[in-house]
Amino acid sequence: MIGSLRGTVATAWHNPSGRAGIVVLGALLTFALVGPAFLPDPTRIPSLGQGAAAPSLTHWLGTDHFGRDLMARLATGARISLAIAMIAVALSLSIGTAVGLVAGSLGGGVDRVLMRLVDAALAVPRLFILLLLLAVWERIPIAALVAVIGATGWFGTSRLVRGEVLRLKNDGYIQAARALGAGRARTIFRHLLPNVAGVILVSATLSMGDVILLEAGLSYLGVGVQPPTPSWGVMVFDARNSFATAPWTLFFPGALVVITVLATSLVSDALRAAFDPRSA
Amino acid sequence: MTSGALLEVADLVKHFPQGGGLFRSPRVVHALNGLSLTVAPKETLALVGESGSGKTTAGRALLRLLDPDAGTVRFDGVDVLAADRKTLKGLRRRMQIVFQDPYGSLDPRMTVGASVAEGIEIHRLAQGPEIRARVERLLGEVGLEPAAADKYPHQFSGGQRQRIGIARALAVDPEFVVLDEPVSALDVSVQAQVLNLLLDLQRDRGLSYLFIAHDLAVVRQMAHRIAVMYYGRIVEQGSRDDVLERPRHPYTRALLSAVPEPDPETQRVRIVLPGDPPSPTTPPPGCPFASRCYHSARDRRCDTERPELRSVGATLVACHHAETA
Repeated sequence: MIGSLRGTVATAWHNPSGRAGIVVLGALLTFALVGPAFLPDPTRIPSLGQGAAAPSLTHWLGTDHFGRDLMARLATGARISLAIAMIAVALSLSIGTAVGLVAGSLGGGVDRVLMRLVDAALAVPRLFILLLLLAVWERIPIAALVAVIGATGWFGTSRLVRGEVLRLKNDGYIQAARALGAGRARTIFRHLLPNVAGVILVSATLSMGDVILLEAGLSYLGVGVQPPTPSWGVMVFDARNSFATAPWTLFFPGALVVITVLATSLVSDALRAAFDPRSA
Repeated sequence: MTSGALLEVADLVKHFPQGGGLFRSPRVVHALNGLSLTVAPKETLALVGESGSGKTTAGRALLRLLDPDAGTVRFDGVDVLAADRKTLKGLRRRMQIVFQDPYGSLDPRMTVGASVAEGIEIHRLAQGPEIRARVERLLGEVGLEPAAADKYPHQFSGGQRQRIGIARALAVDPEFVVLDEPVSALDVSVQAQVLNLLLDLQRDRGLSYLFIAHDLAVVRQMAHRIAVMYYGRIVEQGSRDDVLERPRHPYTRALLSAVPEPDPETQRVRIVLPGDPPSPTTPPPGCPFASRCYHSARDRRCDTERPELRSVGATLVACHHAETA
């Protein structure tokens, strides 16, 4: 059994693959935060017609077909891709948690209506909803992109949280709190929320990977982050014509997407294991 | 209804809809089929019966942790089921519950001190450092160190957790406590300690208990009066000695015959009941025990007419043939 959230994270740290994931994510965040300060301007095109240069001492990861430093673009792209993922996930988790808590703890008609709406939303592919919403904008601002991704990502979380709440509701301590005269708000914030925090955390790391892929996909399709702003998806998109002659332009952004998604799923697996009392 | 009773429960009914879907109406599980009982001040009424007899539902319904479909519950003259939010909160301070499962009944993410303090905070019985002092006093009262307040539930054994659950219930100074199988999840040696603690607390604080149990050896130690429950209602009720020594209902006799006898010299016939209780979704028209009854006088009336609880000798019995042995 686990006492605190901090204890759970510590348990995840003791799991080798969990630790690897945490280290990789930490390195990526550092790269995103401090990298751009030491690297050339990622949007500057040095001189026309220079073409893509292979990795060298001046450009460690090479340049793209405009001659822009690839590492600089990757660092700035990491900022944008990771920031979009984190804010969108935070948004969808907040909505999902709130809906799940309300549906689960109120029950009855409120629960039925909310869950039928969620069912309906889950039945439509997310990419389809996103493309529909994004078709409205010619050049979508990043804030709107984050809002749209966040607003379409909470359905699964709300089901998950509701399920947990239903399971916990009949536990003795929730009943005991009611018997002591605890109001609804106290029950939700003092008892339910801390006890569903585990599944929320696992769900957060899981959807991080999803959202990074989603943003890359949308940007690749040209409806996400707009060039010349670099996101990893935009960089893959930019590489579509040059990857036969300059494979590094495709390889590095693609590899970072894969590594990030892999690392988040390692962390999420380790957290899930740490939250499962049977494995602790 | 006995005058001077602290708790009076009359004709309590609770049905749970089960299954059902968009085009199917749910079946209904009859958990309580007209339960009536009273608990006097400073008294322990034991509610016994096999699993599925509705004991736990009864305990939760009379505390309004779930809403009964019909019937009345009066606590010290106040109608519990009709109470508005404010009245109910006041009642919650006076009526408490200790749960069976020592593992699920404490919030794993709260310190023991925070769990015990919860009732004190809700009812504003103390402020600031006085809360901590009260918590430590309560922990001492149930036999735990003051330092226990800073630990988490998983650091305690089952018996210690049950003590914590008792301290949490006592924190609001209740007059009446539902003990929902408080020791059935514990080892026998630990059971005795917790039972003694409950007896001491009853004596010191003048508590009334509704003691829900299936273990008659434990009931013998705790109860002043015993009510035997079968299929959501009381089938026999009386003083502890009358029910245990002179049981009249065939179901009570079967229950008593299942208690292990420590003396191997004593020969006793173990009554093994055939079959199961009737399906909780389709109540039989007659006596609910008729399908398993082995009584020699069992007749057609048992299948058609439901026996009401009536006075036979010193106890109340719901059996058409309570007079015949």
